[in-house]
Amino acid sequence: MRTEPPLPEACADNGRTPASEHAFRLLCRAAAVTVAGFLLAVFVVLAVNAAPALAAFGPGFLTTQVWNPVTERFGAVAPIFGTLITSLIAMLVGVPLAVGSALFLTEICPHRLRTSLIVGVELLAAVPSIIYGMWGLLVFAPFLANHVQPFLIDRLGPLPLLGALFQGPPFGIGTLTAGLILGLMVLPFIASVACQVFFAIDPFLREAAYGVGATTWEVCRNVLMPQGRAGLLGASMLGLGRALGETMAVTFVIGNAHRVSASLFAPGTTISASLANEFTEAVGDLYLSSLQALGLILFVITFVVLALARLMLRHIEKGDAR
Amino acid sequence: MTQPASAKISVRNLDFHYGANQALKSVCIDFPDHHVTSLIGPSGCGKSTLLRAINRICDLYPGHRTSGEILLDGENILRRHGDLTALRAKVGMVFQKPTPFPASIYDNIAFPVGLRRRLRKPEMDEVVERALRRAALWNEVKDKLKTSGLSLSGGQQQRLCIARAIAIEPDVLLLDEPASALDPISTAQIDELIWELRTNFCIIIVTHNLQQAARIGDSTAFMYLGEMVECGPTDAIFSNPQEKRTQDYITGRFG
Repeated sequence: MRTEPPLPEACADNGRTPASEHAFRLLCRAAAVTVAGFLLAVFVVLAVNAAPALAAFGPGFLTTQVWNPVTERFGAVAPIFGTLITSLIAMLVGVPLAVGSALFLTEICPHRLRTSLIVGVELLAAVPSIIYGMWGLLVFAPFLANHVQPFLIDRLGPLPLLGALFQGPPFGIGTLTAGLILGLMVLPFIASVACQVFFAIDPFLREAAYGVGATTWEVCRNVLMPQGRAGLLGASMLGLGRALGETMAVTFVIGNAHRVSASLFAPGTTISASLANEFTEAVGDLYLSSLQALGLILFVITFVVLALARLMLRHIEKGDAR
Repeated sequence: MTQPASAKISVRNLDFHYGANQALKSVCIDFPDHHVTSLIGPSGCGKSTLLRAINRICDLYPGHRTSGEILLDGENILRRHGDLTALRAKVGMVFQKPTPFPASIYDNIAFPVGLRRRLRKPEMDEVVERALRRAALWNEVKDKLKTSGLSLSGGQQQRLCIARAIAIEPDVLLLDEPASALDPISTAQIDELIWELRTNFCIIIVTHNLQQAARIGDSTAFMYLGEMVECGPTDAIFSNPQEKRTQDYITGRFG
């Protein structure tokens, strides 16, 4: 009598799930859990280490400007303000330049030049941030101090309201310089994603837009940018996330003063610059804890920004489907 | 069957290259005014390329080269340099997939109209309504002009695109397989629409659907591998083709 060979495991049940499939799913799940675990761990460590400072200063930590290691009085207003204002400047400078260059690269640029220029933009993203910082400190800041800031102080400084932004001595380094450098640094990231966004737009839509007799500018403004706005928002958020956390270049050029000044030319600080500057020399538990509380605040700010971006994206998508 | 009037568009010895590929070989054909001409032929035979040469949308593609003439009202449009927007406003185009702009139904039509004419709101309202009525879409959308053009069904989107094309009062309407992505009912609506529009425009339609070509084309032209094989009145092409290749194609032996 012949015995049938035993069925392989895989065929035993009709679902056809061999061991490799189980292993694959398990590995993917493990990878996801690891990432989430790291995120949670970062948050927990920051929260635990920040607790003494937050307990000592209470909500006042978020509302006081004083930062005095000698008397051990700490408040986070200056770095929070600096972080937000430099990122805002970076966005104001970076987003229009990035979208403009992406439109040039995808819509106007001769095809022969396109690939090399796009590679060039991506190379910019690969420049280490310390290079931007040194260039900012040694080249860009002196240039601003000698040529741009005196002019702005003369012309814009005396204006009512707006003038307050452009007063004080032209140091070169300061909030504006940091914001401009940040803008340059986020530009390639935003531009290269924006290029992908414009490339991904259905070529028929582009032909249809030109086909009604629109100029390149009208096609870009009325069709391509609205069509790609979800992607452009995503690109900008990628840049903003980077601007909020960028450390080295900002530390070089912002001046590192725990002060909130109306003037963009005054030195300031950001959360990440404070951490980079002071962490190694922080003596005293409260000082260290205060720095980690800054880290926790940056974590929360970044989280809120990304969550808002998600909400806006969902809103846009809903608007399209309506 | 209307008699061909004077040629609105004359294509003379048109060669078209994409880089090393020759897409059109010495094509000659006349497109009369107030007349529907169907272009048929297997995929890749150059129908869409011919269409895209007539409004110079082909300029968007890299490495293209043309020689020969395309006369629109006697003017060789291949010799036009610089601004092509006036040409494209005169030669409207509808694509095989609906291409509504990311804007409201109203703005989909108001945008191209506003490019050429400064209109006050009530005048623009009128232009938009007239275009939508002519495209047989008005009754379906009149209560939701402010909603996104993307919210419409495929057939409605395509009629919106036709409304948009005719709103700027072109002389010529180029239709590149306008019904290929649509269900049979929407296709029938589009066919009916084209039939009505022919009184005002010189219409050229590329189609893979031979029944559609037979239904709506006053003339039919058969293209194969970049050549214009045969063109003539639709009845003659379908009932008594002169060329063997035409006969093979319309009887389904290849293509």
